[in-house]
Amino acid sequence: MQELVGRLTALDPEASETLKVVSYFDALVAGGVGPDSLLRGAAVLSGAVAGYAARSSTRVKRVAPDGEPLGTTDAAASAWPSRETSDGSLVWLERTGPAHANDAMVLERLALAVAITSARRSNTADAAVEVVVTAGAAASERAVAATKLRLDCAPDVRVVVSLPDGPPPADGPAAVVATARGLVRVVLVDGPAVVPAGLRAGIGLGGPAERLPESFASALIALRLGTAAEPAVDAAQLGALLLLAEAADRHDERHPDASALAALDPRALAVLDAFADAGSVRQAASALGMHHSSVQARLDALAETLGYDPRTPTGRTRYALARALAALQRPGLG
Amino acid sequence: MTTTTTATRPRPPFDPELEAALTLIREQMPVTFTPELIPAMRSGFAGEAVLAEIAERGLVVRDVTIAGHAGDDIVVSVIERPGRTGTGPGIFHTHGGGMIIGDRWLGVPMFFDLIEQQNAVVVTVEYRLAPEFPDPYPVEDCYAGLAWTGANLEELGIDADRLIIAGGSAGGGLAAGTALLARDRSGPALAGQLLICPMIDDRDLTVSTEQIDGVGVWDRGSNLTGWNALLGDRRGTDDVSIYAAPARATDLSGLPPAYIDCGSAEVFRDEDVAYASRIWAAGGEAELHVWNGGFHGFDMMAPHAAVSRASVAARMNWVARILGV
Repeated sequence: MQELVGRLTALDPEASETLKVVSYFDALVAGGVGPDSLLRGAAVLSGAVAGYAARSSTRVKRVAPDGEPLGTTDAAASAWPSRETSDGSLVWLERTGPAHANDAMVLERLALAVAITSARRSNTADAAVEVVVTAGAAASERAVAATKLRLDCAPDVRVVVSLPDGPPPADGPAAVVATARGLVRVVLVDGPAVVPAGLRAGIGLGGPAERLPESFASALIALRLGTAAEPAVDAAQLGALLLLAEAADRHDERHPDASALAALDPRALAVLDAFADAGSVRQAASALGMHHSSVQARLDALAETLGYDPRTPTGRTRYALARALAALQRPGLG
Repeated sequence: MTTTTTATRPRPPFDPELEAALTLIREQMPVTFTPELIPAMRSGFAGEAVLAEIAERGLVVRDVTIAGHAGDDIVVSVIERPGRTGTGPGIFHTHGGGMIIGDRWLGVPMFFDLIEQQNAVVVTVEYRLAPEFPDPYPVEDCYAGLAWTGANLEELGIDADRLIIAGGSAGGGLAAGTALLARDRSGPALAGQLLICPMIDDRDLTVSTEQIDGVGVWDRGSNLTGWNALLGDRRGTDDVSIYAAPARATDLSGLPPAYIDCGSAEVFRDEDVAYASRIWAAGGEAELHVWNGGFHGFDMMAPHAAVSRASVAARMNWVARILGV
């Protein structure tokens, strides 16, 4: 335990430590720091010099792992591993020798954090978006923010959320917000929301602006319920499942039905999903490209493993709920 | 909702860079060190990393066995430039570690630049640790080391008017206690006392100790573990000397100039601020820095953070002024 008096050291060069990188940058973003702090974070985590060149200027920042600011170099001429941020700036790590296991993740989170920080600073609407969806903000503060966004009289406004590194899921006032499960892109949409096909997104419940924190909470649940087959989920379409999901989410311990699904191999899950979606063994077999008797046999075996038969009406409901709970139990935003 | 839980006091927020660093620190060590953890905390403590840095810089070390408290043998190490000639400033160093862990190498590297650039000599003392060696062993061992240094200034090549005492955390408390002993025993003369986030009050009565409970670094419970090891049943009673817990000293006159720093979000904040105030009240010299959002030892654990760099720069700037470099 010499860490009691030891210093923070760079991450393991060989082991992937994604969670540490994510939580480190999330804490910096939540603290509202500037680009210098973000660069120092990247440098200390990677143990390499980190650099940043803003799109709008020729200004280059470089910082050593001990936090020492370094002289500038020609960023364009460098061949360091780099990443462009969504606002057109460039960040890089001056790694000599082979890349470390976490270099790509450090660059990704650095680029993301730099983009969020510069967006926050260039556009004050950003901060208002964050306030208006935050349950912890005072009602009066949220009302002021809603007025600023011209949403104070909107009867049917909702939050649409997506993962922060992808494109915005809809048009409207937007911000990237830190949540307990990581950063999320938030867009406020007045009226019904349509998101681009294939984009992971969660659409929150509609209502007046003062209920946007609830809309945000429901949008996050919807986002986390998304799958490859159904990447965008609308909380309004979840019905009572939203209520159950919110209740289940308050508990830390896993439900045994969800744990049972988490223990299955992907092919077994594909069979169960196909049956749940199709509603008949024959249609599930056709969707899977399998013979229906094989599907029947797999379902017989799975009913044994799960302790219930997903082909019965109650079993089908139970499976649907277990599937939703398993989705919610994925780390981060799923 | 029940109302049976004790309301915790709001505390100053951590600096954002330090908050981020805490996410990593939290994975490496518990918030609260309990007495059962002392053996585990001691394992892995070795001067190897510091000795490697000494070798890399080409500095030389010699160990000297001297008489500690009650005449028992203790070791001090003298660190200097190779082939050094002439005289220079001296730093007598007392290491940190809550009175219960650590060794004499801990914290020493902050003076390597002074050794190289100012011809300085560092003497660092291996005082004995509680609970095996409770008060007054630690502070008396430290005083024995200082007395030995003071008696050998010529041989050590230290300018008589340029000897300071320095330590961090428990080492800061021991440095303050040793400076009080030097005052009350008429020597050795000190040009300054560098008290880095010093641990000086056993009484657990401040607002800051209530605020930093189960959070941050070296929280209230950890601090009680350290003081209980040092003082046993005497902790918090009238039977504690000002040398063990310098915050108890009512007369802070006649002390060398002090540098005191701490974070705004650490247990030691209020006792450290009060110590500086009482030095001023006695007509003495103190420079006090309370770094916004700092947890205990922030500049050692997260030296890259902007607030850490500012803290280290201010500290070394004071040392340069006191030593007249």
